[in-house]
Parts: sequence; structure tokens; C-alpha cells
Amino acid sequence: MSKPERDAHALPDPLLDEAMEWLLRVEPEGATPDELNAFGQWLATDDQHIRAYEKVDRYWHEFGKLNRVDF
Amino acid sequence: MRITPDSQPAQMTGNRRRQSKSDRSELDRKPVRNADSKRIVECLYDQFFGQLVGFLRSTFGAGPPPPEDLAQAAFERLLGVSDLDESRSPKAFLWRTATNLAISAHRRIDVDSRSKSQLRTLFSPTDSYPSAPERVLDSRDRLNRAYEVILAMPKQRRESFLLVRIDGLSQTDAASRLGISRPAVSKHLVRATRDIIEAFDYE
Repeated sequence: MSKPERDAHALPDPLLDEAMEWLLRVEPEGATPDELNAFGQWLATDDQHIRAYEKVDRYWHEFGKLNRVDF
Repeated sequence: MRITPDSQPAQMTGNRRRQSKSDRSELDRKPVRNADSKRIVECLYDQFFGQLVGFLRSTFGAGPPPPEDLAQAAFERLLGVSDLDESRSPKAFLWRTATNLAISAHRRIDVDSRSKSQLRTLFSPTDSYPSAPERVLDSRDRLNRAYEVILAMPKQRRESFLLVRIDGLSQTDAASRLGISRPAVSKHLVRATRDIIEAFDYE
């Protein structure tokens, strides 16, 4: 098998980091309306923001299904 | 008994936390009872519909489509989410879904040059939210890679991730457990997620 290459459409790391920072801000139940509004505005700024958020959200969600006993 | 809407997400998260290895497959099949799901969404509707409309109006204007219609559509999508109890924050989901619906609706209006007949189809079932769940850990190989990437993390990064994501602690509680600041925990979580995405992106 040839050496794997990163998808040409991969999102830049800083954008993924930014999306993850938003997730950590809005996912906890205590997120305020102001935070939610700022989050929505950030999403609305750029399609890449939406894609980045969907990506970190998918991984964050899926990895929550792992079991503590396996670590 | 009146249940405050803010207690709902905690309750939903609680269900997920109690989930053990043995009952996981059963929960995956029937994640939430419809009656519960409906009641939770009704509570959220009472508390957040107005705020969501306010956000949509200030961000996207008065329409068309009217912000009320967009907010309504977002709540309907929330009702259709099958794994509400183990899933994301419903509030974040609402804001995200409404934003996506607004963007795609405005895009469609631009394309269709505001023809009135098109407005009825603004919220077509093919709109992106909620999209079909994409499974990341859908094979033994990928599951093994998941454990490998977490075990390879530096200790504090790994522990931050495990405490918050697997044990369900708040970032604040994880911070005091680890003896570091809450922002430090956030930084570790951001970095852990990037490690994970990098490990799965190259294929």
C-alpha cells in the first residue's frame, strides 16, 4: 500500500482548533444565549467554519463511546 | 412537576453516562422514548424559541424566510434526532441547525431570484440537518487506532480527554482533579481532538 496522503480538502489545523474551542464553549449545558449567538455568527461567517465544526463534533461524539476500562 | 429546561441536558447526559458496555447495543437501537424526546423538545421550545428567533433576525434579517419559520424548522429537526439522550447539547444543535437552514435558504433564494413559489420548498427534507450520522469507529481497525492515538498522547492531554469525554466530568472538575487550570484543560482537549483527527484524516 502506498503511503497515505492527507485529503487535499483537509481543513487547516487552526480552523479545527477554533471549531473545537467553540464546541467546548457551547456544548456544556451552562452555555449562555450570548455564547450561542456568537457561536451561530461564527458558523455563519464561512462555510469552512461549518465544515470544521461538523468534523470536530463528529469525532468528539464518536469517541465518547469508548470504554474507560480499555485505558 | 415543572422541570426547568436547563435541567434537561444534564438528564440526557446522565443517561449516556450510565450506559455500560453490556447495554450499549440495545441503547443504540432505541436511544430515547418518543414521549420523553417530545417533552424535552417542548421544554426547550418554551424557553429558547424567542431567543433563537432573536438571533436569526439579528444575524440574517427579517427574511424571507421569516426567522420564526427557520426557528420552527430547527425545532422540528431536533424532534427528529434519534439519539437525543446520548448526543450533543440540544441548544447548540438548535443554533447550529437554524444557522445552516438560514444559510441554505438564503442561498436558494439568491439562486431562484426570490420567486414566491420557491419559498415553500425552502426547508426541503434534503437540507443538511441533521445529516445521517457518519460512523468514525466502524471497524475493529479504526477502533484500535482510536485507542492507540489516545494512549500515545502525553499524560495530561490524555487524562484531560478521558476525564471529560469518557468519564463525563465538566472541564472545571477535570481541572481540579488534575491540579491544572480550566483553560489548560480546554487547551489539552483541543490538542487531543486535533491528534485524533490527524490520526484518522490520512487515509
